[in-house]
Parts: sequence; C-alpha cells; structure tokens
Amino acid sequence: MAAGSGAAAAAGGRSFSFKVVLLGEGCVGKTSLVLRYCENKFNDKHITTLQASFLTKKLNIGGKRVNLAIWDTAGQERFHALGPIYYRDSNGAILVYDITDEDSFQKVKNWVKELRKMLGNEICLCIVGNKIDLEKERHVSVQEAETYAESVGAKHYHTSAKQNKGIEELFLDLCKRMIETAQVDERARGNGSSQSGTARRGVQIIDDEPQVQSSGGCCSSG
Amino acid sequence: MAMYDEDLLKNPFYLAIQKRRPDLCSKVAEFHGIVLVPCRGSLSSNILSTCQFESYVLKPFEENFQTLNGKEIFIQGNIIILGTGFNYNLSVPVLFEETFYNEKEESFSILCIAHPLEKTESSAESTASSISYSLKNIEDAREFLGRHCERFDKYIGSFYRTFKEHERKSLRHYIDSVNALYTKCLQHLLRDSHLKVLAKQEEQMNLIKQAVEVTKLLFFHRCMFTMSLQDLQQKDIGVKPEFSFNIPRAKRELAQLNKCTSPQQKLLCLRKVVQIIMQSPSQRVNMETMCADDLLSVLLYLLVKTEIPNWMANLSYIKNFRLCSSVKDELGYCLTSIEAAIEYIRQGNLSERSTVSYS
Repeated sequence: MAAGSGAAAAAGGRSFSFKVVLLGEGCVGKTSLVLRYCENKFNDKHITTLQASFLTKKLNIGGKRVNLAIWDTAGQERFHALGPIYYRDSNGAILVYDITDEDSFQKVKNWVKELRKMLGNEICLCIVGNKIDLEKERHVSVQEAETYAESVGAKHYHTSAKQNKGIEELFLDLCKRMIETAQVDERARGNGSSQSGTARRGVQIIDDEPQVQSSGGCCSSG
Repeated sequence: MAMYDEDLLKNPFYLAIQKRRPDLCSKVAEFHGIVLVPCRGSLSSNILSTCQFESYVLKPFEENFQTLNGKEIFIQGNIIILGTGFNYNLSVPVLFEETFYNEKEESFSILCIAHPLEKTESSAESTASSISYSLKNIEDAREFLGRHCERFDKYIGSFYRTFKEHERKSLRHYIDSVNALYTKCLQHLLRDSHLKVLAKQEEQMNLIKQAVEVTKLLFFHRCMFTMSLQDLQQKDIGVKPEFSFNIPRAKRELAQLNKCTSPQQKLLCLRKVVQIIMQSPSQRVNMETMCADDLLSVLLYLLVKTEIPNWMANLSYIKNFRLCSSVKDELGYCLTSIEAAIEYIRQGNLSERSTVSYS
C-alpha cells in the first residue's frame, strides 16, 4: 500500500515499514552482522544472494507486522559527503564499531553527530560493539562505550557476528523502539491529520471501509 | 517489489492451527522451528477440516527438516520438497518468510507457501511460483483499468490542453499538476468499490506513461560528462577486480535507460542494472560479499562509461514523478545508490588525473 512514513501504515492493519541504515568502517564486520540476521536459516547451503547492501526481513512482533529494510551505506572516507543521501527517511540506524579498534569507535561518534543533526530525535540509534569473540584484544572499554551511548540517547549492544551472539536481540529491540516511536509520532499528529515533513509527497489512500481481501492477490509493496 | 504478501494473522489456516492446536504453536516457538502456512488464496474449507496440522510444523533434523509427525521435508532455495513419510511427490514454492515473536519473545518462522501439502485433484504444481502483480506496460494498464480508461483519457486530454497553455513554467508547477491529475484519476477509481481493494497497486502506469509524453518536454538536457573521464580505468575508481565480471552486461542494460519512458520503467531498468552487478559469475565461484561501497564504485564506473547525457534529468524525473512506490523498498535503494554516484561525480571528485586506490 502507499505507505509514507512508518507510522502512516499503521492506520490500516497494524503494519509498519521501517528503513534502517547501517554505518561502520569497512572492517568492523557490519556486513557479516546483517547477513547473519537476514540470511535465511533454512537456506544456509543455498545462498542465492551475495550482496549485503540492501536486505529485508519481515517480522511479526506481538501482532504488529514490521517490514524491515536494511540499507548499507557507503562507509569509505572518500564517500563521506554522500551520507545524507542514504540517511533520508530512516527510522533507525545501526552504528557498528570493532571493539578491538579504537579508531572505528571514533568514526561512530562522527556519524552519530551527523545523524542527529539531520534527523533529530526521530531516529532510533543503536551503537554496536562487534567482535566480542575477541574480548582479549578489546581496545574500547565497555564503560566508555555505554556512557557515550547514553549521553547521545542511543542504546549500546555487544555482538559477535562470528558466533552469532546478540544479533537477534539487537534487531528485535530496535524494532520495538521504532514501533514505539512511530506510535508516539502518530498520536502526536492525531489521526488523519496531515503528514509530517518526513512523509513523502504523494497520494495516500486511506480506507474508509474495512479492507476486503480478494482471494489470492492482495496488494503489496516491496 | 511486487512480491506476494498477506497478513498471516488473518490467514484462515494460521487462525485454525492457533485455535485447534495451540499446543503446536507453543511447541514450535520453544525449538525455534518453522510453520508452513498455505497462502489464503489456496485454501478451501475442505482442506482446513482435513489437513494434518502436524505436517506443517517443522523442526530442524540433521541436514533437513522433520515434521512433527515424523515426515521428512527438504527446503531447497525457495522450494519445499516432500520426502520420506509422504506417499506422494510434491514441491511447493515458498512465497515469503516472516519471523514471529510470541509474548514470551520466543521466535519462530512462518513460511507462507503457494498451496497446501495435501495432494489435490486440481494440479497443485501450477501457477503460484511466479506470482507478480506489477503492470509492465500500457496495454496491461489499460486492460486492468477496463471501462475506466475512457474517463482517464478525458482527464488526461484536458490536462494536456491546459498543459500546453502553461509551457515554460517551473518544475514545481509541473510536479503539482501531475500530482493533481493523479489524485483526480485515483479518486475516480476509488468510487468503484470493486476496484477499491485492487487500487493500491500500480494502476497509474497508464497515467504516468501518458503524462510522460507531456512532461518530458520540460527537462533541461544537461551534460554531466564533459570532462574527459572516458579514459578512467576501473581501478582508478576503486572497482575491485572481482566485481568487474558483470560490468559489460550491466553497461548494456543501463544503456536502455533513455528508452524507458515512465519513472517506474526507468527504476526497473536501474534495478536490473544493480541486480546484474551483484550476480555471482557462477554457482561455484565464491564471490566476495558486495557492500554499499563496492556497489557505489561499480556504479561510478558505469555512469562515466555509459553515454547517457542527461543523468540529472533522469534522476529528477524519477524522483519527482514517482507516485506510487515506497521510498524504502529495493527500488528506493537502487535509486539512492545511483543518486549518490551522480552526486559524487557532480561534486567533481573524479578527475582525469586523480588516481586512487581503494582496496
């Protein structure tokens, strides 16, 4: 359906579509992290996709449908200025650093500033310390990372893409936060009032009758 | 885009299994298993009353899966194949997967499948594997719209007449008037209650396509690549050698862009390009995973090497006149990647001599 912002879709069938951007330097393991999460468990041996730049997953959390689109962003220094093109209309951001690499944590801090500047408090931020399987080589202290995350209104998570630890929790938690944000946003705007600035221009079709589904084909969007 | 979707919480099969066999539902969450749910269009009351729900609940078993009544099931790619324990052969396409979390936050997967596992007289192997709901060309759109076409032609005709009077106004003006036309046509359609349900799809192809005939007048043709960028090599742009395999094919596909007229067609063309870039050369070659940086590098190279003079016009056209699809879907991602590549070049980051190496 012609859903604009994530919240807009909720009017019909308690369904949300969220865009989450993925940020992090090249070697922090951000692609392994999302592949771990999105790659079909039943499909392990028949990997059809070798790309980690755009991945989707459908979730159903306590009866609320979530269409999650995870966008990898260009992370190389030379592409830095392009960030905002990718961030537009994001509901969430996952900022990944490598716990053995202090520098990658500094990069995360830069991105946090940029995201807050561009999207304000609407966006749910997750700061993720990856590679906890290399705990012995840790260079970013847990306390420093968690204190920083709290100071910027982000949540902090520890993961290991290699051992598949903490990843499902990270995404579930993020989705719950995005649902909450979308609902608060929706209530603040009041039902049926005009869309906020983040919603794209276009035509919104709002049912004034309960939806009747035809057999076989119902409407769909990506 | 246009993949099959339905709200599984309203699916009669899922409702039935929840109601009649709550034990199975809590069990599957405990071992993070899989529930197979036939799509709603494939269900009959007969099936709901006779099927064995245990056959639809899967648990990982050695390399494959086992149903709760001990039958074997293989999942290969997007196909479910029945194994030992079933006394007939059948394969069923998977339409989509959804991960469910129950109130205890235990997770399990539901695979929505094209039809039930029970053998039926009507050949079950049939249709559903390639369900697609997009209208690809103007003939499809007209057929879909049926008797509404006439009225639409009228609207578009009068739009065209006023449009001619308003030549050389601002882009904003054109965007607004095309939007107004679109809304008018949609409102007309929605008065038809039968169409109302279907209306959320891509019926506006027709409108857009005709609107294109009018609106394409308005774009400034601006040449982006007056610099002598043609000599740039893949490595100068940072394209990794392992991703150069698909470049010739992607280039051929991209060259079709200016033959596409509607924003939707242009977007589909761009998506095809991106898909080609990401294709693995063969099943056996283990290509490195492609991330956004890699994709962007290849796109930069393609943009420079493909002789399309009006990139900015194409981008502006797609962005401003794309009325139906969400900005968050795969098409949105393709468009964003292209936009990023165009912006990178526009900012003058590529010049003849700047040899860069990014490994």
